[in-house]
Amino acid sequence: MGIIALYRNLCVSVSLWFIIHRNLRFFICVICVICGFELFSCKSFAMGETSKFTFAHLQYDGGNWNPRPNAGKRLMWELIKRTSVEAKIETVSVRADDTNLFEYPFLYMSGDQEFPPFSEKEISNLKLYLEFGGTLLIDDSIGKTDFGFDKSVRCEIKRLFPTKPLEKLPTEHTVFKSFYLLNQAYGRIMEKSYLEGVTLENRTVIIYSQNDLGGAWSKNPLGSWEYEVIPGGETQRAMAFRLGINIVMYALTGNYKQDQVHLPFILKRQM
Amino acid sequence: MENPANWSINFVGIESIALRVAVLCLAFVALYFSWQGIKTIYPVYKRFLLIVLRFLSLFLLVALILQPQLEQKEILKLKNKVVCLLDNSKSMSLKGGDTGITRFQLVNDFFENNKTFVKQLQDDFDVDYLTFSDTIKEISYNDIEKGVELDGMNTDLVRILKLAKKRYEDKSVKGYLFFSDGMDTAEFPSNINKLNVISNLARELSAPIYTFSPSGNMEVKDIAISSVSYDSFTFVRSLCKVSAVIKIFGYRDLKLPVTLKQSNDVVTSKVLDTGDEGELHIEFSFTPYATGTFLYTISTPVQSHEAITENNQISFLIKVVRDKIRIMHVCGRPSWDERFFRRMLKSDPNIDLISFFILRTPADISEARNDELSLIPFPVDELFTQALSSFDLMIFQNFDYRPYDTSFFRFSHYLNNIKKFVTEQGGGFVMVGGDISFSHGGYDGTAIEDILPVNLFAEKESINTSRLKAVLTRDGQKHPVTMLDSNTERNIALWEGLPDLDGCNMITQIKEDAISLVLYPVDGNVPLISVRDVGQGRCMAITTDSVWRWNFLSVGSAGSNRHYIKFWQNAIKWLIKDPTLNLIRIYLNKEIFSPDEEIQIRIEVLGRNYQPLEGVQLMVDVTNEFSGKSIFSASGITENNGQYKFNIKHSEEGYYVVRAVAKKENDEIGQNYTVFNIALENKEFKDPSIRRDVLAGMAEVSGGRYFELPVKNIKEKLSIENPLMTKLVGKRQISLWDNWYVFSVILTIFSIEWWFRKRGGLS
Repeated sequence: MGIIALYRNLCVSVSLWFIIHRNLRFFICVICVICGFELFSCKSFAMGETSKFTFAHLQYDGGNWNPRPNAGKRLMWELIKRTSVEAKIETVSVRADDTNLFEYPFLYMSGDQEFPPFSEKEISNLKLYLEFGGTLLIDDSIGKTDFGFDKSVRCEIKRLFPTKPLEKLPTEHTVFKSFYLLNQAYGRIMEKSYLEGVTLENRTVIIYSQNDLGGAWSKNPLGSWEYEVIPGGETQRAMAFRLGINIVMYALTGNYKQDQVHLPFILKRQM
Repeated sequence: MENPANWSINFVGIESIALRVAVLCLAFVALYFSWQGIKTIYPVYKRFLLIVLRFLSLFLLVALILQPQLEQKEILKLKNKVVCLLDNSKSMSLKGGDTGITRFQLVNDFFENNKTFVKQLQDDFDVDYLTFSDTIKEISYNDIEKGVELDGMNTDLVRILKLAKKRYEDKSVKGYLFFSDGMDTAEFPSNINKLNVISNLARELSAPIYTFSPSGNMEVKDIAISSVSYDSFTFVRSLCKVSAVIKIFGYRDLKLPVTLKQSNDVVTSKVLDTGDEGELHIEFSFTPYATGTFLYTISTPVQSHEAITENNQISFLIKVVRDKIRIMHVCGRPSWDERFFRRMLKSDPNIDLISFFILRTPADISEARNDELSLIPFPVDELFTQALSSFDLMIFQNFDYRPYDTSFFRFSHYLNNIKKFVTEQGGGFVMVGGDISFSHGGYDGTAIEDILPVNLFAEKESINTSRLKAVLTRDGQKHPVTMLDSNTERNIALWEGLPDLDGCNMITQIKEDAISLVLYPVDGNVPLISVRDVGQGRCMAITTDSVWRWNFLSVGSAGSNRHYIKFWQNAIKWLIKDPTLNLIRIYLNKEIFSPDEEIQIRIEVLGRNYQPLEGVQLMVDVTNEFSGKSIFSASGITENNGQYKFNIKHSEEGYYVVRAVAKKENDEIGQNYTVFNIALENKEFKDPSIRRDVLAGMAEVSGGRYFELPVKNIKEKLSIENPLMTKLVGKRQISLWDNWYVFSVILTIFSIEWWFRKRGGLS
């Protein structure tokens, strides 16, 4: 019995050695993948899920609240790849009157058509959310001023902050230097070279883009870009990602890049 | 004093002289016409008798009209006054140069050498003797002979002249003899010329002032720190400047060392080359590194033959406070915890925040050139070597130091600096949890672990992601860090109402001398918030990165984030050792006391839960700040209100430190100190120069004369005007017409004339 077992073990070992030897490249690849996975899993070794940055999509009645369903996921993928921020790849959707709204201090609202006014509950909840630390990125997917989505958005912002209208964000605004140094707004289209926003106590709580940022970010599950970026092509798409990352970084760090220690470096690079 | 009587006659019937003359004229006219009527009557004796009778009747009639009165006046002859003012301030006790005699001794010698003059003065005048410093006091000549006590702590010539003016306003003072060194310690606003004020007041006395001052050889040899300028409070870690004026009398070409000390520790020192200067200005700059009230002293060594040694040093208290709380916030990656924390810190105007966030790790691919990024190098060397001591608090939030532990900058060395910053410099340190914090940040076995309230075990430490509510420990219920409400029950309720947290670093072992304030109720009750006193400083560990939920989720559920803000404010105050949070508190009824004044001392002891602690053994010692000599020591037990009170009295001037050490069951709870001063305000020795200019000026403007002591044969040099001065003390009036015999004489005269005419057949 012992000799038979020894023989069997020897055969298995020799067979394995032959298999490994013949497929050495394959096994090296497998080992690399495992190591890479280990490395990746170390990096994502965070605490609870809400400690990670979550791309929360604002869901609202009427209109089309999610014209670019793959945009957020791709932006999060890029965010993880490019920065030290821990983020969840999967996005969530949340309503403004949802009790869970305050689990997600960053909110993305998009659309391509007019929508009915928010309820009073949604308005009051959203106002509280923004005043106490939340950030809302609004992305107009068609980029037509005073039409459709833009018309509804301006109307709702007026209801939120009657005395604080949307204002053009200057190029010196922290959102243009929170990670990448940018000098204008980008997106799938170049409707406006600037962003607009509502600023409360030195913090821009609403950032409004009319260049279809989501369109530039969107990639389908097969790995192809969903929308063509015009007029700048792939360079413009890269810039749109940079702006998206800057907006997330601004939401997470506020006016950190306005601190005195950063100014000489940034001024030197902008010259 | 003589008392002569004066007689005079008055006419009270008619006061006007013209009317009196008119009446007399009328009387003469009437006499003339009477004469015309009787001049033809014969014999002559009848004519003569009639005219005599008519004259007498007219005379009496005029007397009736004019109403004559006799007046007797009693006059008192008075003596004029002379006032002797003698300076009895402390400066008069100074010995002059090498003479070995005091300034006041010269005054005594004056009275001894000029006895005849003084006797003559007392015979001719009413002499008042007054001593003065900042007020006047009447004495007698005998008091001068016995010896005047030189105890005046201030000299205020302006006040003295005002008091003299008021006292002798309606008196006939013909001279003032003013014996002084002219030194005036009263402080005047810089825009007012004190000499002018003194001159004007001297002039207003309306009598000559004869001033006497010690002569030139009476100048003292002295070095005096006459004044010091400083801010009574300054900011910690900021440059503080103190300047002093040093006056030099009788010395030349000295190399004079001047030292600034904090208690008995030398802060800085300078050597002055005095040359021929009489006044030198010196400025010291230093940086205090701790908050509290400190006693500083500027001193210079005593020189040979110095008249005053007390003015060679001057002490003052400076309260060192924080201007802003300087916080360094290092964060390993942007997160919501960092974001809400930074926002809270930035919104507090008392906090000066320096932040460094790691936005990209070496593993990240930014897809841009460096000049397209806003990232700056992490100035580790500058932050953790040069600038470290300028901070009050350092916060590591989910920060892994190892990527920066390069061969060029050894971050592990900087960890030792942080340990020194906490243990030796009294700084605060907070480690906030996360996936790259505590053991996951590589801090096990480092200097940081030494100061943390928890032990780190890399192999055992994991991360728990259960969503649970934090639980306040018994210690946490009353600790200032976790005291969201002063009422314990409400505080517990507030903590129960805070939103759930989202996981924690599974650190199970808290250090023996640390306090666990809040637990995370997973297996083993992980210390979520723990604190520790370590060396001079304090540390706190928060083993989660989801404290932000107490902020934003509280807003969503209760509409307010005030408990989150309160928690961090409490934590920062505790970490930087805010004086209001010291467990031992010493209260005095005031800071400066007179000798033998009762000093009321109250010591309050709080437990680590900041509640009054009963039955604590207190060791109290009150010592002289310089000599270290104890003037009072006691041991007491705190009462049920955590307090121990006692009163002391002490006569010796100086700065004293009250130190209290609190122990319970042989474990020291804490200690504290405070400083008080026992002092008589004595400005007399700040500037011992003789102000002859002041005295000469007073003599000149008042019409007197200035003399330098010693003076002999003063009677040949000084004469005081002595005019006669009288006073009406009484008068008596006797009426010469308003009586029966005047009327009887008139009636008799008229009856005789009537009878005579009747008998003579005259009409």
